[in-house]
Amino acid sequence: MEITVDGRKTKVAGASDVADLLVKLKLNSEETLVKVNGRLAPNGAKISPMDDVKVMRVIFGG
Amino acid sequence: MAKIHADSSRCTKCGKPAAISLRYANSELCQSHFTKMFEARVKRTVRVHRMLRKGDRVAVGLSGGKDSCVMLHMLYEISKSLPIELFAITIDEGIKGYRNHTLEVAKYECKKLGVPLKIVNFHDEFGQTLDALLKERGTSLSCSFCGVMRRYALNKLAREGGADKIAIGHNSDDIAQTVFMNFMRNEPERLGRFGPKAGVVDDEAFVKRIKPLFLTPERDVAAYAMMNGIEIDFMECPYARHAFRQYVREMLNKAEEKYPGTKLRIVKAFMEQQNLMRDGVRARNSAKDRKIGKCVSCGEPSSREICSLCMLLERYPAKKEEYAI
Repeated sequence: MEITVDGRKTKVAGASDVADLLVKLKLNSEETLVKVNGRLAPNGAKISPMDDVKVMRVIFGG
Repeated sequence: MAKIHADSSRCTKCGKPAAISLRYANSELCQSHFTKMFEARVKRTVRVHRMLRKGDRVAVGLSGGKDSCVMLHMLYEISKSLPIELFAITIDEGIKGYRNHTLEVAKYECKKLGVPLKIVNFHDEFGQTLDALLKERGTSLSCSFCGVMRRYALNKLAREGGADKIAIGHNSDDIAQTVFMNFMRNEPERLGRFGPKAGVVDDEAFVKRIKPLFLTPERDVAAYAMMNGIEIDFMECPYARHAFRQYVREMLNKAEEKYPGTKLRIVKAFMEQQNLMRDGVRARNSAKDRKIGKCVSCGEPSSREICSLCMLLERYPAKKEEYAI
């Protein structure tokens, strides 16, 4: 499925929920928020290739 | 309308579709319950630590990043029931391609809430931008210079603006990192001075600093901003990668992922021990008869003969020409 990470499109295969997706992307769930179809989604939210999934890294130095 | 899967996670409070997982609290919350929990926690932190009093004039340190913007909104919310006067101070360090974005966010958020904003820059205050200063002195101490200079300018401007308090947007992640960094550097005195209300010694030259987000995780701050239409700029400071803090941040986030709640437990453990540390610092200061005086070089308040900024500038001089305040 095609998703967006920090505004860049990327492809990930076989992710069934948000937690699984972050593991596949090797991203720390503590540092990210995920939007599914425009709304924030918890780690257990199911995702499918039809969904619009956006991953945002929200913890950084400023 | 956004599609929600029927088998998605549910809010621990009401059973509606959840918007966020809070692993540190072993719960999942919908947008409404998360917002209520978030606001109640910040208000409780302010109340329990007696950060604000009726009639206070509060200078809000507003970088334009998510933490300070959310803090500004929360203080504005609090000002509806507790009469306090807010004004914001934004310090433009002069970091090309970074600060100009967050400055626009700061202006936008202040305009939205009707909070007066004062923007000052390092060039006017110190005669040089941070970029120029680091070009001469190297980037390895970028955060040391920037942090000390920002604190210096913020205290001076808040004092000149008649502020009773300076509100700083440090979240609980920042606090856990600072606690860890001070342990790793063996700096107990710094830790003794640190807290939700900073400072051990009262002196009119130092405006009291309060941290309303002291017990609020950074990820929660980002989620609250997104849920409540507060502008977020996702840019990272270009100097952050040079910082010791970055190493500690990554280390603690790895620990948090494996052992949820680690960062908040560090903050709470620190709070438990802080009174003892403060007593120790007070006793040591009193033994040495240390008082807040004025820096012999620049005249700003300092507990030593020379303040931290002048000491840094003296220890790491510019390679070409002298730099004066």
